[in-house]
Amino acid sequence: MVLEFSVPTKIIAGSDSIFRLSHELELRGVKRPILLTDKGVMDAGVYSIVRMAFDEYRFDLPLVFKDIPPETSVKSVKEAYRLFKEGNCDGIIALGGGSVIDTAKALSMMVSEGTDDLIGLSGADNITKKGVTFAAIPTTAGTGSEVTGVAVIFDEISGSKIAFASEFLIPDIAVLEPELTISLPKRLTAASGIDALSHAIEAYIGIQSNEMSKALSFRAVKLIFDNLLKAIEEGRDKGARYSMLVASTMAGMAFSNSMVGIVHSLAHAAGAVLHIPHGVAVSLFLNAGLKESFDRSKGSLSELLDAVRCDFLGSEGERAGEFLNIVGDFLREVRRLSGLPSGLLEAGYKPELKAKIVELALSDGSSIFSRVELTEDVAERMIEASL
Amino acid sequence: MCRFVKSKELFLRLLLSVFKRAVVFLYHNDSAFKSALLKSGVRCFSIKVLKTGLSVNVVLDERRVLVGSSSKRCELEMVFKELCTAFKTFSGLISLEEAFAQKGIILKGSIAKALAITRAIKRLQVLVFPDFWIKRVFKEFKKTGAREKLVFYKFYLYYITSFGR
Repeated sequence: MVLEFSVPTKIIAGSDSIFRLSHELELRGVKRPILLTDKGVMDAGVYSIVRMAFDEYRFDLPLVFKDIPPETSVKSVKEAYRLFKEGNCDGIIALGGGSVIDTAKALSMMVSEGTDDLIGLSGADNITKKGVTFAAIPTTAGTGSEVTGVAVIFDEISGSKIAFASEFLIPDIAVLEPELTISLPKRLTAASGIDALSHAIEAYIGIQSNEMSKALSFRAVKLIFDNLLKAIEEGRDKGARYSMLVASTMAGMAFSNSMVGIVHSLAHAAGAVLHIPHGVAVSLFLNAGLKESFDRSKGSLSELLDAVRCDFLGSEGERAGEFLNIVGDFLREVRRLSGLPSGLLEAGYKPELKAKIVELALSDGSSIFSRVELTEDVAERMIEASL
Repeated sequence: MCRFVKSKELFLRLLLSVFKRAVVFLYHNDSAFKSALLKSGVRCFSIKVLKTGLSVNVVLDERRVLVGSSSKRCELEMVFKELCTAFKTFSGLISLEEAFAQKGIILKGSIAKALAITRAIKRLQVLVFPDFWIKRVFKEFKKTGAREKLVFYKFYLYYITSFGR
């Protein structure tokens, strides 16, 4: 078996790390970057902190595109591309959550390929060269998008989400500044944290897991269990915020190489049908997905128990079962503190939507990497168990 | 270590000829395979092996399927990075899913469509390989029934009698 593992992003993490970004851009010859962000980031005062960091270094930020919607679309990417060309830009900075970073990845693709036919670049490995220098500054701790080569963009014309995957989409620089996540509301902190937990666990138990990704996943699981509840309860706890950012990036590195599995297949499908945020959808299916994976992933689940509890002795099955119990209890506590929905029904699910969710889940690429064969029966069982 | 590369290349040529004929035969003799292919929405896909010139092009519509080795660009291309992974996949030592998971394949085109084609090829593997051989490589394997066994024998009869045509 051949193992491929790649983490090309330079990661700068910690309090005041944002002040180092200008230097990194200069090192790479960037003089006129475009900064992409959204209204939420602007309103939360996060942009002003970044602006201050650039001003401090006397680095000019001439162009800011701040109209990226919560679910980014082809239209907004094209608008960003137009501004990029008009502004004669030579670098991209993404400041925001998954939607903003995905927009930046799509923009980077269009710039490197020199085309405005974004849909023509969809799918895997359709990009032939690396684009301009691209820095990502996540303002949520969960997507791991700052170190992955995947982007999802909504196409208004077909009404569907289009996926892009290429290692050329992986950002060159990721800045993990805890100060920027302090204003994140409880619900978003919880949903993105559970998304990161799911990345770590699914990368650990999937068919593509390997020693390198397992090391990252293991530590990410520990960090999330130790810090997510603190970050939800006490949003200004910079230590917890920092640990969650690092955990999310580590889980991102792990799943960028080892991929995710059936929890994400169902979450992508339910997210599209119920129009709920990705992290919320993941939180609804995590338990059910792990239960479905139990028989085929006992060994890995048993190993993960050591990340959260090291005093439990028992057989492999008992240890794996204990890990599932702990994850279940953890999810309940996260929901109690944050107000995340406790089941699909609370998230707007209706029985007549089941067939559509199953259909979309079966065509989702994540299921390839799961140890469980995602069939209609499995998908239906997961939905029933998540009501 | 991937040894005997030249021999494997020759054997892979033979395996690909089995694959090509299997696609055509099963398209007309196994409704599950045909519907899996059509449901994918793909009308042209190709499987290639880098640097060897080995390729399979499949063009299909509701009524027929054409299989060849042309270099025509299809909407979906699965390109094996090297011969050894392709050999393992076509000889039933690993599944196409596993080849993807090991990053042994460059995918050009829609991920969802590739997943659907992977399912169709899995069905093909179930029908052209004996149970004892193929059951090791799938996540879940259902023993083939009498009807599928009949398709298996009919295919090899067809393959042997059409050899050289």
